[in-house]
Amino acid sequence: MNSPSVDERRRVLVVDDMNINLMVLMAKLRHMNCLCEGAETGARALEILPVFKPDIVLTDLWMPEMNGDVLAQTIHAMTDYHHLPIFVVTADTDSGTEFDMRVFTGVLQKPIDDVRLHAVLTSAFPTAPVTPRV
Amino acid sequence: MDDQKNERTFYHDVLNLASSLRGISEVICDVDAPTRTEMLSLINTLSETLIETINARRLYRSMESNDLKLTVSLIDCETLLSRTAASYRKHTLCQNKSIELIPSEHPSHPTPLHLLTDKDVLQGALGYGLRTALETVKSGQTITLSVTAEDASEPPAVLFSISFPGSVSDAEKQDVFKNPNHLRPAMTGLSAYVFHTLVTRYLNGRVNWTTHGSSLLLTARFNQHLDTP
Repeated sequence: MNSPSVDERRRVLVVDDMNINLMVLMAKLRHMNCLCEGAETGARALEILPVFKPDIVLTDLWMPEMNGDVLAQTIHAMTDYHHLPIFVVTADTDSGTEFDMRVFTGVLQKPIDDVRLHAVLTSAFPTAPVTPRV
Repeated sequence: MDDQKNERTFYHDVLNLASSLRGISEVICDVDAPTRTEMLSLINTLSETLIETINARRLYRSMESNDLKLTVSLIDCETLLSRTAASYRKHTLCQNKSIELIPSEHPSHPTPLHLLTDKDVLQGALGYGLRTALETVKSGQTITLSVTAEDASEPPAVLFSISFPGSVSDAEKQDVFKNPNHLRPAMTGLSAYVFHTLVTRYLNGRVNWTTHGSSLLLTARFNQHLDTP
């Protein structure tokens, strides 16, 4: 099977308080030839951010202590990350009633579809070569 | 919590679990051997959690529609508590958290400690109490469960206790055990409300919560012989 790749080792930071979700999404992303780091809290994500320097952040919405929308606002308030693409990954179809979804670049609805994930990564890296999953 | 929000939470949880299961099935062939072993174990955990989530929802629906029928029998309290702990140790909520069971050592009560009640409803209630604790504690923290006989009380009673790190702010105190109007759980959330309702409305028990410094104690007290409400 051809190894599907979105680009030349793009860096993706995944944030989810459920370790299982982190593991699954990171496995998918690695399969798409991305470099991944995972964080189980918003605070941990903020620690990893300046070290890992991601090209994109995929974050859960409901998380203890710091929800995904607050994390996105915090990241975008940082000088170096005004325009960092941040997508929310959620199983909630009605998030807009309780969260300000405008802080996110887009929404990746669960269950995560490979085609949709690929499209999200492609939209975040429009200049990168894209190899669709085979 | 209105039923629409409750249903939304339920669908969210089920979809989340099912998504994880599907995700694992999609990637398990491509990961290394240690990760594959871990994922196989996770499939079991996720499946158990999915079943528990659906059963909890059914219990909630029956409870709210006053459609819950009790089937009373003599149960072994420690065994029931142990089963409840075991089922939640596999729950995704329990990741990086511990549940400890303190064995009953009261010298004056017969072993095992018995209670005449509905086994499934009591296990459901204790499960929601434990869930309340799991939703409150942070990664690395421990929840302690115990059941003791209250021999000095008349009639004789049994006390189930759930002790865990956490606190309730002054603003939240009046909302503990109330039907919540927000989705985020813990002491003022849905689990605490269902725990309280099942114990008090259906099992004729008494619920209490106290705070001791940085820890909380949630209790359910039952007369040893159920007086059906």
